[in-house]
This record gives sequence, C-alpha cells and structure tokens, in this order.
Amino acid sequence: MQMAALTEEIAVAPALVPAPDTSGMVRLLTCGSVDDGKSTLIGRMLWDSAAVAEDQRAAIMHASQNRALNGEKVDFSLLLDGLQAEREQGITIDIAWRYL
Amino acid sequence: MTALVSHLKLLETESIHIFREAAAQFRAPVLLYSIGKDSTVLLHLARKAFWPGKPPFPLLHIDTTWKFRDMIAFRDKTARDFGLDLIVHTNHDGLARDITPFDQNPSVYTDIMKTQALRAALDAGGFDAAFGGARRDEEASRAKERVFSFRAAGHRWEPRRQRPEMWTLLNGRLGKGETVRVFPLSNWTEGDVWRYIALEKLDVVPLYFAAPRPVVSRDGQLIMVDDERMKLLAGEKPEVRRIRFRTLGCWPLTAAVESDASDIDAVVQEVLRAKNSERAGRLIDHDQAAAMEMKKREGYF
Repeated sequence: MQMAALTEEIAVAPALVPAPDTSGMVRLLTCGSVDDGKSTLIGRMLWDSAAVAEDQRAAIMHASQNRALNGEKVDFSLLLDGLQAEREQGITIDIAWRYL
Repeated sequence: MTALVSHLKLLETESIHIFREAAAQFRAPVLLYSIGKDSTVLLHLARKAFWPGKPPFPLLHIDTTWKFRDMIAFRDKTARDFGLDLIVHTNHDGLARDITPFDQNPSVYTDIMKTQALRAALDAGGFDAAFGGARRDEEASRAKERVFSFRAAGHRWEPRRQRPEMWTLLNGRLGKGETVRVFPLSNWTEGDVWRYIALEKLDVVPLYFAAPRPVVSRDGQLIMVDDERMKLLAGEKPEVRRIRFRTLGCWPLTAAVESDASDIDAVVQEVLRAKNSERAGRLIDHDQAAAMEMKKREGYF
C-alpha cells in the first residue's frame, strides 16, 4: 500500500482569510451489507485527505496491528469506530463526527 | 460577510440555541468551567445567550489543587469581572490521602481528583444538567457524543443508551436518576475555537502564548515546573525554554510545546498548521487503550 499521505504537506490557508470556495461541499453516502467496508472506505478517504493529525495516525497504525484485512497495514475503519465495543466486534455501532 | 465569519456565526448560533434549550428544559443546570480556551468560548456563548441578563446557572470548577497558578488567577478574575457565581469543589478526602499526579498513575489520580470530585460536586448541588466544553474533534470517544449526553445514575456514560438527535431537536426528558451533560461546542474544532477567540477578542490564560518558562523534558514531553511541588527525577534539571500550551489541565500532566507564537494571530496560524492533535499533550489520554472512553463511563466529561 502507498503511504504517501503520511508525508503530504498540509496546505493551510492564512488565518482569518476565508477559504476561496466553500460552495463545493461533497456529500458522500456509502451503502452495503455488514462487513462490506463502508466505514473502511470513509476512513480511507479521511486518511488520504490529510485531515488526520499525525499522533492520531500513529495511534491508528498501532491499533491496526493484527486486525487489518487483505494485507493492508492500516485498518481505516478505526478512524470512525472509536468505541471499545466497536473495536472488539469490528462493527460500527454509532455515528462518529469528524471534521475536515 | 466572509465565508469564515459566516461559518463561525453558524457555530455560534447553534451553541446559543443549545444553551437556551437546555436552560429551558432542565431544572438546575451548571456550567463546568475549567478555565481553558474552550471554557472561555463556552462562557462567552453562555453570556451571549442570556444577554443582557446573566446566565441562569452558576459556574463549577473542579480544583485538583494542581492547576497552573495562572489558571486560578484567571478563573477568579473572570468570575469577579463578570459577576458570576463560582463554585469551587476539591476532593478533600483525596488531598488527605496524598493523592498527587506524581505519586499515583494518571488514571488513579484523574479518577479520584477529577471524576469522583465532579460526581460529588454535581450531587451536592443537585444539578440535573452540566454544560461542558468538550468537542467531538478532540478524541475518538468524544467523536461519538451527543449534544445532550445522558448519564445513568452515578453519572455513568453508556454509549449504547444515547438518543438520536435529528436536526436541532433536543430531547431533554430525564428518566429516574438520570442527569445530562450538555456540549454546546460539539461541532467546533480547535481551529474554530481560536479563530473565534481572535474575532471576539476574548481574554485567555497567558499560558497559551509563548514565553520563556522553566521546563523539564520527560519521556519526550515538556513539563513546566509551576511550583515547588515538582518532583524531579535523578539527573533532571529545569531549563528555561520558550514554550506555550495548546491545552491546559493539571500542570504535571500537561505537556508544553516549543513555540514562538506570542500573540493571538500567531497562535491561530500555529494551530492551523499543527500536525499533531492537541490531546497529544494530555498525558492522561495515553496511559491505556480507550482511556478517555473509560473515564467517561466513570463520569468524566
């Protein structure tokens, strides 16, 4: 897997200056059966969008040991599934709010 | 109106709505005031929500006696300047048992001096709702929080027993023994909080701005020596470095960052560029897996 996102520079708009265009909001919906990877897909997009702090990335990578599937090194669903019960059972129980 | 201001306006409006909704629905609310930047914004919004009246609830500070001295001075000045009722609660039983952040592990210390103290103070005041400045962007279990977070008897958080919150509808009906924690800043990020502080020109504790301060480096974290109770390990010697804090708690458990950001604009810039999350400096979050969730289940906010 490419881990390029880890070293990606985060572009920062100067403080107090509005982002150039806020009309381009993207709404994203995932549908699928249990274990199809709905949370994993959203988690992967968060991961690649560089919206995840480095200490959180490190914590996710640490927690991913022995649980990521299909030869991946990172279990991206952990970005959304933060509750103990969710991690133990590998399912999403409740919504999680994350901000870009 | 610029896009940024309108973004903060939306957040402000939402928070004020939450304050008024909670004040209308609950019998005896209280505002958990922990002196930091989030509490500063929280208090400012509470004052706006009921202006020109005063907020119809007191402030509650859980004083572990290990807060930075600058924080206590700021707390007292704020309560005095705004003419607010301030309840300060300390777990004296814990003090008598010599529970300190140096002698116990962080979980034990936090449980006794913060969580147990908070539960006791809420029970003593008969409060059924407590406003807190927790934000969803802070941490994985807080990302799951409702705006009205229900607590079972004993103030326990049970993530599976929370209610849906559709649109801006908040259902505050309490079952027997239940209380609620109310989080008006749920949807704010650290960047929002700082930009709002800059925009509204709010005073914050000076520790958020860089200055030369005495620190020791311990396990890769910079711990400021705030008073003579600091227990130095063999070979440790405080040195003066230019530091500031991204988050404020008990001084032995809160790590500083090296920084030159000495005014509000520089802090905003630094926060927006930061690669680590602010909770990286909170030692109590890292002593075990799911540390925050376990603390919340015990009644931490």
